Amino acid sequence: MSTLAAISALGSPTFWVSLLTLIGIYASVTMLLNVESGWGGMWDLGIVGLLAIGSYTYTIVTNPPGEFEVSYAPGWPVWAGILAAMLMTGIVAFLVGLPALRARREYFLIITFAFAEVFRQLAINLGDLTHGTVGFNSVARPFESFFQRDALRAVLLVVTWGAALLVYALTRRISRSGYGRALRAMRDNEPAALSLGIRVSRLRLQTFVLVGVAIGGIAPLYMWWLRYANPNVFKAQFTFTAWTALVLGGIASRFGPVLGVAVLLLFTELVELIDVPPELRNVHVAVHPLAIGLLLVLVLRFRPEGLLSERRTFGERARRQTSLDVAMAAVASRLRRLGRGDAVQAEAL
Amino acid sequence: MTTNGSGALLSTHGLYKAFGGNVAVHDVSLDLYPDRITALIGPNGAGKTTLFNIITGYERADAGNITFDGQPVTGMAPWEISRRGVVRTFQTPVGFPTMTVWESLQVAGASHNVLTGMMTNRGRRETAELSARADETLENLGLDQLIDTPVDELAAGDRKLAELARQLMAQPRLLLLDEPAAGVNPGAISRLSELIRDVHRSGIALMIIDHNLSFVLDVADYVHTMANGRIIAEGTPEEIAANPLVRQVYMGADT
Repeated sequence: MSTLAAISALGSPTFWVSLLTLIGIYASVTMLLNVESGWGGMWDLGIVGLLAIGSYTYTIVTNPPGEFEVSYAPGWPVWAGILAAMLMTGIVAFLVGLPALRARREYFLIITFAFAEVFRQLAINLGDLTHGTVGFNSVARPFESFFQRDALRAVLLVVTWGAALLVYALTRRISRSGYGRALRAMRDNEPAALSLGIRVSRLRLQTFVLVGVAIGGIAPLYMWWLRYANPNVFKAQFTFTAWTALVLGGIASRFGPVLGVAVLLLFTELVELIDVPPELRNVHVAVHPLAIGLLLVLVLRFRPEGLLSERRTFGERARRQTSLDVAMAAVASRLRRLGRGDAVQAEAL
Repeated sequence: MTTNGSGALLSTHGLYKAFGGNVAVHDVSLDLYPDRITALIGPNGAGKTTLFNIITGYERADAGNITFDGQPVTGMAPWEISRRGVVRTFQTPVGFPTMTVWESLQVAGASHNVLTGMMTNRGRRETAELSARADETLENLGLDQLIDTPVDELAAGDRKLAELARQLMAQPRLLLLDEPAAGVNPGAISRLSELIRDVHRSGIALMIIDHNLSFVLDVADYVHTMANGRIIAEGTPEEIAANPLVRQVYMGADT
């Protein structure tokens, strides 16, 4: 019986739409985490804090007035909520980054972790604004009046992956740009980066804010998928999942975060769906995190850099992708030189 | 190249730096002229690298000041000094270990800013120009075979050269070389001297710290000798080689 239940869950479109949407959301967050932590070397263990700020901001400003007993419910439209979330996470990232980025590595990690917990405690205690531990049990979603429930889910899946594609395009642009190289240079060797004129402290803050703003843009997607917001949603578990996926997929690679999230979340769901007799339920629940740990250990044992690696992403190909540009620049400079040569000769004559 | 009245590109006046009770740099005043290769020699702990660190902004002097191209640069951050044209190399050239040689040469000169480095069209054209310059620099230093080698897989000597190439990409007006001959195999030293002279001929002022006295005396036009944080002698390589004080502190008391 229960085996059948598991199989039917796997076959149901609702299950897949929901899982794929979640993968899209996590993939976006993990790609952004990769910019900051993989390329920028800032070990951020408080990424869920920014997600919380974005999610709460979106939810609070888009809630219809009078539906919850809170002091502030302007009932803004969805698009304004998204912009508000991005703006707010950007501001918060800036304010957190100012003190936190003075510390490096494990110290930065501890500070960001602490800030995320502070935000959660604020959500619990600023009940007038956040509805306390109860939170909000409904969230404004776009296109709600146009589609039926299942169709809306499918539409939001497409929207989520559209956003993930945008984030991927952004990280790809970064990885090929002077900005991306400056990030990796700063992470690899700060004194050498400084000696090349890279203003590392400003670069760190810019990156932290950029990631914050982008997470603010992803937060509403998470809210649309989850459809409620309360302090429990924003526990460190989210951060750990993103980090596990990042390490699994290949930290500082380009596509690794997406692959890592897909593998990790599919694996997690499958482990959860394994059918066990009722008397073994407790064991199953307890073994669940062990199975994820085992997956991580196995991947790192056989592919220490993750499924994909920084070296595969950059390396030789980094040069080839610009070889056409180079050829054109060489021709242009040859022509310029010729032109100048002619001018000199003309002058001499 | 505009310089101040004395013709010096970079001048230090009375630089002083102490770590706790240890005086690392004691009242150092020196002038660097663009038309000659200047060397700084001295035994270990003489304060040579500390002096480099102060000039390039990695450490702050307790007293004294520095001018570059007639402008005061005392106390500026390293990135700011680098952008003005004073670029250094490091004693241990770790470089950017996750990058290939070619990639690490793309770091300097590109726009690092999050917006201009990424969003504008300028980034792309810049890349093409940078690539062309990187290829040329690597060719000049004879590194074209190693273009796709990861920096952390380079032999010690090649790593030194790759670092030199990388720092040249920052288009320095003054290049400070911290022990360029350390770790370079003896057979390659004369080629290194030749490369350094080429760099100087291309219009870049040079200052070199090194332990290898024969290399320094061969490549430099003017030599300052430091001991215990002070400049104890300066002159042409011939004068320095003949100076009994220098022989005593630098080469040991066996003369």
